[in-house]
Amino acid sequence: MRQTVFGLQVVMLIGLYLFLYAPIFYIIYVSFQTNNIWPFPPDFSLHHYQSLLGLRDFHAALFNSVIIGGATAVLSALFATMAAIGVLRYRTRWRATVAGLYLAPLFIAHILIGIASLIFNKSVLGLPGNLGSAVIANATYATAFAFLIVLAQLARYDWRLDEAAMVFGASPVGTFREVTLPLIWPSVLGAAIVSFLMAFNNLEVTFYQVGATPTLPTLAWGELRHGISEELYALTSLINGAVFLLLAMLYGLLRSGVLRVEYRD
Amino acid sequence: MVALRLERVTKRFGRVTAVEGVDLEIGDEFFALLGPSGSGKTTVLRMIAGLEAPNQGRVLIDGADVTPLAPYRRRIGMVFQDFLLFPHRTVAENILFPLRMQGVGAAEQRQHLDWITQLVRLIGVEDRYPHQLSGGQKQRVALARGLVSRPKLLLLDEPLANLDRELRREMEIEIRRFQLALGIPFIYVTHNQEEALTMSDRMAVMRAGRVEQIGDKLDVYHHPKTRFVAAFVGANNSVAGTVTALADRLATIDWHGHAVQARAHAGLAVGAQAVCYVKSEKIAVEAVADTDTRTQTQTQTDTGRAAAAAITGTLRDSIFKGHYADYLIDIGEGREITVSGPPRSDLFSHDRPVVLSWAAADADAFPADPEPAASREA
Amino acid sequence: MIGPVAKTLLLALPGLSFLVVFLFMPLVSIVIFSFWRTESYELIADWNIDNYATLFSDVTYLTFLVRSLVMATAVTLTSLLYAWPVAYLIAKHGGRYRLVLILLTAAPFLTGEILRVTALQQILGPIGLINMALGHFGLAPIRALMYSNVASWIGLTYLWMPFMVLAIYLSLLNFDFQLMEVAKVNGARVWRAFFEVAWPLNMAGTVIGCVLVFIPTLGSSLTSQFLGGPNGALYGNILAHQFGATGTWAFGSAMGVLLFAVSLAVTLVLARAVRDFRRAGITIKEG
Repeated sequence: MRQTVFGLQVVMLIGLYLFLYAPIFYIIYVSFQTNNIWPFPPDFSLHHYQSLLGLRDFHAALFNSVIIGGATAVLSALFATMAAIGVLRYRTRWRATVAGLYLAPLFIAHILIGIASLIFNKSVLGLPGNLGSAVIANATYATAFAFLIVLAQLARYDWRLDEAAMVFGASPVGTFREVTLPLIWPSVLGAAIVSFLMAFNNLEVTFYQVGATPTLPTLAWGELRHGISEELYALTSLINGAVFLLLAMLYGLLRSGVLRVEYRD
Repeated sequence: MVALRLERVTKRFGRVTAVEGVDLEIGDEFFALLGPSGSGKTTVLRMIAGLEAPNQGRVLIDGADVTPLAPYRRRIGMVFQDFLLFPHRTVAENILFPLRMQGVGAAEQRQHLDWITQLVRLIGVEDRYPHQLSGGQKQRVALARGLVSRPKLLLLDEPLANLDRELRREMEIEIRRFQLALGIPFIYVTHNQEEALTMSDRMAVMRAGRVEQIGDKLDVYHHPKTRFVAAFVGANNSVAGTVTALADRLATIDWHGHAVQARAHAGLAVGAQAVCYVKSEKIAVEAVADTDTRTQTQTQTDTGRAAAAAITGTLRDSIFKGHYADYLIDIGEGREITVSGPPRSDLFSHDRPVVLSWAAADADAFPADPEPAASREA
Repeated sequence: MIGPVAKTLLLALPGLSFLVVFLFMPLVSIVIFSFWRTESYELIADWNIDNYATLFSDVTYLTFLVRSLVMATAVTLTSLLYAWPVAYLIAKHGGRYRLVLILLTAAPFLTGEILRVTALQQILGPIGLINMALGHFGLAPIRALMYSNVASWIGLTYLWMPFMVLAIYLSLLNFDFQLMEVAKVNGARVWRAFFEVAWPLNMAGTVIGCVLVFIPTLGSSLTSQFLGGPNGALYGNILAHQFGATGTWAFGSAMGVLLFAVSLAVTLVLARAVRDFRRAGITIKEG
């Protein structure tokens, strides 16, 4: 009985990975083939990538997405880190409220964030849709994710280390620079990377903000309406590759011990 | 010379008063702050360090008022519970942290490092990280970091709480040695009376935010001034009864027909309820023949003094601890008394009738009501 | 010297004011606009409840809402049933590979909805791998995979199940697996031990996982747009439509308010399962 349950669990885990990764690996495979529909036997070609590079708006869209992702990452990581320190460092009765408000965006559908920001920006604030409003709208839910990540890591941080530094002569700024930051920056970096990727690849929120300005997801959306275009094979593969490269780098840093995640010895 | 002075220091957290009106004067000595958890002793230490600001009162170091100063301007050393070494810094970097914060030059840092690693016997591990050290080594690094800048005083917050018993014994002696070598005040917070009694010159016993008694450690041990100190310090037994006579600073208490004598403390009155405390090593125990069991006897103690009290009981168990033994004696009425003494072959058979006695000067009687008895330390 | 409460609030203030101005206020504003009307792409402050009257009287909108509710329930239940054994396996037996195993379940999420749907279409669609392979071997294609509610169901599960795995996994990280041994030593069989100990003690994590899957699925529009086919439109598609071609923002606001209200109601119903925190595996640290 015990063996059967364990075996079933292993099969389910492998099944989950297959389910999650088969589409990704298959589209990466197809992206290097001449024939999109039945690419067997393999016939290697780079023409999908050539047509992606030749696509009008591709460079602009890439640039815009990097801007949205980067600015969102900075905003979210900053808000999230400050709030997480505030919640964990000082154990006041406000911390549950503060944490609840920061996590609330996790429980709001993206389409609602998208349309509410669209209407509010235009009708109340009088802001036109542009990259700035896209950053703002993406930073709402990204802050929640970033907060969750920083909070989970910082929960293990021993704040008495800061007190020790103070007693031994470090000013508040010195304490943050010498002790707090060197110990918590991996979680801040992790939060920033996740925020970047979510905003970079977001469509449901960004779509309602950017108007005619192209981003990679809106470009992909436009293409996908007419079936999977040649460029889309290349784009999907490139983005998947970039995401995994970034996560693998972060994981490698964590494992190599360059970034220490254990604070208590 | 007074190195540290606390004047009427009070600290409140919301509605809870953690420390109330504490006065302390500490010279170049080893001073222990002893108390159960929640007694406010750690809060007192944190106010000296500047990690908490008192609501009222002043903290003076070498005569200068440091109450408004942030911790990093006070130039004191501290050894924390759990060591709190910086995990991302090597042993040497940890030790030199206070000097680096003070902007001391590299050459001088090197000198201090050599000096302190020799003092605390910590050579050859300078380049290791904290997680590569044993518990004892971590303790030494924490001490070195606390002492390296030759601070005006060293605060120690239960530094031995997480060490095993053997290591604790060793470090108790070491820390005492450092204090004698450096001649600066060590202020040592602990809930472990054995540590306080072993290491300190003077000690203060705290309860519920107040200092109950302060003085030479032997004085605190042998002459408790309050009921709490009598119950908390040392291994104690208590019997409660009605005061039948008060004379010559001695009280006589009736305990179920036995007349028990003890030093009288303030607040006692004839006819009122009293509790009498006596430390387990100050009780003499003698085996008697079965026929004597229920007769009250006037025996002679080993020292020849007239015993102030004699109670009969039954030996329930003897707990052999090597160089001494604990005897658990049932004296009836649901009371059990523990007596400590040298192991004796005649007291190792169970259910023997025995007679207990102690000198009046070794027992302390307090009024029964105003203060609840403290739970004894294990 | 400022107190700890002031410090907490000061550190939280920048982000909080940001969220209030750019998330909570916009959400409140759509409640207000849902009582206005739209005229040639402009919102007119003409207070009325016509939007809600239409929404609740026209059976079309309610049909889409019910379809979305059924879809969200199906996706949540599928994810729940599948995620529990997987999360349990990783948390208990993952050992030093725990982190990489769990990251692998979460990583595809970061490539974004549109690209994940694209990749999925290359597998499920009419020219997708499955149906092309079937055709290659002379077999009939599986129609259910092409532009259908089944395809949407697969797609939404593909998109959101990682959240369920992650939520249950995080909850299991704080679960003492030795308690299962205790239950078994005291006579509980495997399943009995699971439902007596592991399930209730991870209730909070499970509920959070359910909410994190249910809410985005209920409001989803992209997946059904590209995988659902002509009869696969969900509430989210109709909602998105109000802000696209028709430009009926006031009515769209009302639809958004209804979506939010339904999400909130479902969250509250699910949260009832963890009313007693101590019995749901949440220990609140004192001090």
